[in-house]
Amino acid sequence: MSPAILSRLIYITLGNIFKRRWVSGTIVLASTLVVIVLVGFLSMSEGFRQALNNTGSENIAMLMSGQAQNEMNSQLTREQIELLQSAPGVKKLDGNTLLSSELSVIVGVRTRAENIKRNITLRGMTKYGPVLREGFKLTSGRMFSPGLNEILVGEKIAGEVKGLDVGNTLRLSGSDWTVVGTFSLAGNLFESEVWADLSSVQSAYNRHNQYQSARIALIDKDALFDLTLYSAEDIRLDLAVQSEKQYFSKQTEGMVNLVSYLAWPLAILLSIGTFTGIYNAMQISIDSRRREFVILRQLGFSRWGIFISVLFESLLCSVVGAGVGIGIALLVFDGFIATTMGSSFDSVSYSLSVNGSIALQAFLLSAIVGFLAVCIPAHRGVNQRLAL
Amino acid sequence: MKDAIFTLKKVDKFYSDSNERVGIFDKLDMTIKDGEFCAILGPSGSGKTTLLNILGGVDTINSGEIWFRDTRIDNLNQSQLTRWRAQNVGFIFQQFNLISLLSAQQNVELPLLMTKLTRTERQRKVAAALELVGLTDRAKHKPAQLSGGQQQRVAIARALVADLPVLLCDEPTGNLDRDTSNEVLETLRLLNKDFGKSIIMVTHDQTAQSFARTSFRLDKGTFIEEVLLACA
Ligand SMILES: Nc1ncnc2c1ncn2[C@@H]1O[C@H](COP(=O)(O)OP(=O)(O)OP(=O)(O)O)[C@@H](O)[C@H]1O
Ligand SMILES: [Mg+2]
Repeated sequence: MSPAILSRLIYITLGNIFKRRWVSGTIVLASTLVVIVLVGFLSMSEGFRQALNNTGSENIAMLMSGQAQNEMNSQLTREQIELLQSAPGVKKLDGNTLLSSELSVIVGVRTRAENIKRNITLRGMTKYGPVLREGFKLTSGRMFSPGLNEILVGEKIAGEVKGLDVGNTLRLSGSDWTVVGTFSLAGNLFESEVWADLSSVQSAYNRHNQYQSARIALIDKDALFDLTLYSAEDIRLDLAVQSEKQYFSKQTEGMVNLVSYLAWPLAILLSIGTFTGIYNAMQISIDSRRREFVILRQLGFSRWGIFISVLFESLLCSVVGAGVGIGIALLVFDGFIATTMGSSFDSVSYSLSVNGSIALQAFLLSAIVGFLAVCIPAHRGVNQRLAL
Repeated sequence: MKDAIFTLKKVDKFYSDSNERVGIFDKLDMTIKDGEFCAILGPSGSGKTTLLNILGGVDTINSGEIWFRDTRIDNLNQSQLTRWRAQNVGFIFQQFNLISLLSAQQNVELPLLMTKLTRTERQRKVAAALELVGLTDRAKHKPAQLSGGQQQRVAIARALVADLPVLLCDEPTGNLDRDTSNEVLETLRLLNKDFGKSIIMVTHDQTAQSFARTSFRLDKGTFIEEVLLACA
């Protein structure tokens, strides 16, 4: 096909796009919608994954009972905690092992805005607990004191949950707790907790001498191996030893997978709708141009050339729609803060992230849908009877 | 006597659907001479449009042969037929002969896009053809901005630039009033006389018939008689 023929066909095509705004608009809009949905979901899973990558240290070991998948199912004994005090490869401070034994319970609270019930984690920890969390910062007030019903509130939920202002008293499980401060964890997923002294939590919830997990600071990340060996060799221990990073990623991988597995089926479902929309719009458009095709073919234009120009027309609209969709998604989703339920912990917050690969995937999807949807109408259009 | 431009030999044409068979032509023999201006007459449904379609290679026949000069065209394949058509026949219908998105000159230029001519050469030819049909001042108008007769003349100019030996016209004046009809018919006569184009025109119109030099009457699909008219 010569450039002259092609440029004239494209000229006609562009004219058609403007002349049949209803058809072009349908294609653009349908593509925009698919792209927004796909980008929305993919950026959600991407944001979640990113938040996770920033969470957890390799220099902190998490210990739980042998088969436990998460803290809630784990149980440690006092004897085990004491054995860990003399484990190898662990950091010391003032002659003490940097270890925090912990017990957490889920408590129901009410949100400030909608006044609906929501679960949060109340975590009892020993005095090194906060130090054993990277990025820990006391953002207001003071630490909780040992033996008292005092709580420290994570920044992310301080604003969302009723009654979590510093100085306030809160009734949880029959006892009163005073909010003494707030903390942040450099924005990681676990900033949505409420912390208190371990013994206070144990006695408030009648769990004396019960522990769920222990956290230990390692000299370096290779010391995890020494600790694992130490635990495996002592029959009284036999604990699941993992770095904090490993633990967090295990806790959230189901969530990440769920979101990304959901993204494509949903996008495909919507694509079928888009396909139908474009198909019908093009069918109508092409029917009304029957004459145009017949004239061009009688003048000697090839079927192939006309087919390509129709394809180009619909693809151009799809691509414009995809561009608009990606633009909107960038404006609306990128950096948007979302809250999702995690598996063992309560609510986690993270920001959505739109990147090049997500944009490309969405773009390709809409181009492919646009292409497939126009093929049949275009094929029918160029193969009509040429008779007058 | 001139050579034949179209020769039909024992042409059978019928349309059939599942249970019925509509016969249009039965062993039709026919010769149209080169450089002829002939009218095809006959009642509605007698197969006039079908005949034009067959001659233009846009409809197929069931048996028989169709010759264009010394080429047999009824057994060409699709792409051969497309090329043959682009080089030899122009179509003018009752209405809608133009691409509505293109201006008059762009419409006329269409067949030239398939040649090796440069842009300037194309534009020169287009301008000459538009002048011949008297539409120089309407070159940049879109079809919707032209009268019916002007649109037909643009279509005729398009056939002219392509240098096609045959023009197949199906009721070219069917939608036009008397004066406009005459403009179109005069233009066709010009093409026939001065450029030697063969014109085959289906028409119901008495005036249109009077422009033709020969006429064929198609009746009940089988019978054709040729009437030689006095030279107009
Ligand atoms: N595609 C088709 N399928 C079936 N029958 C057809 C088809 N095209 C035409 N016919 C039939 O063939 C016959 C001849 O049709 P044609 O269009 O050639 O008539 P015509 O002489 O041009 O009539 P008019 O003066 O009304 O235009 C008609 O009976 C018509 O119904
Ligand atoms: Mg007819």
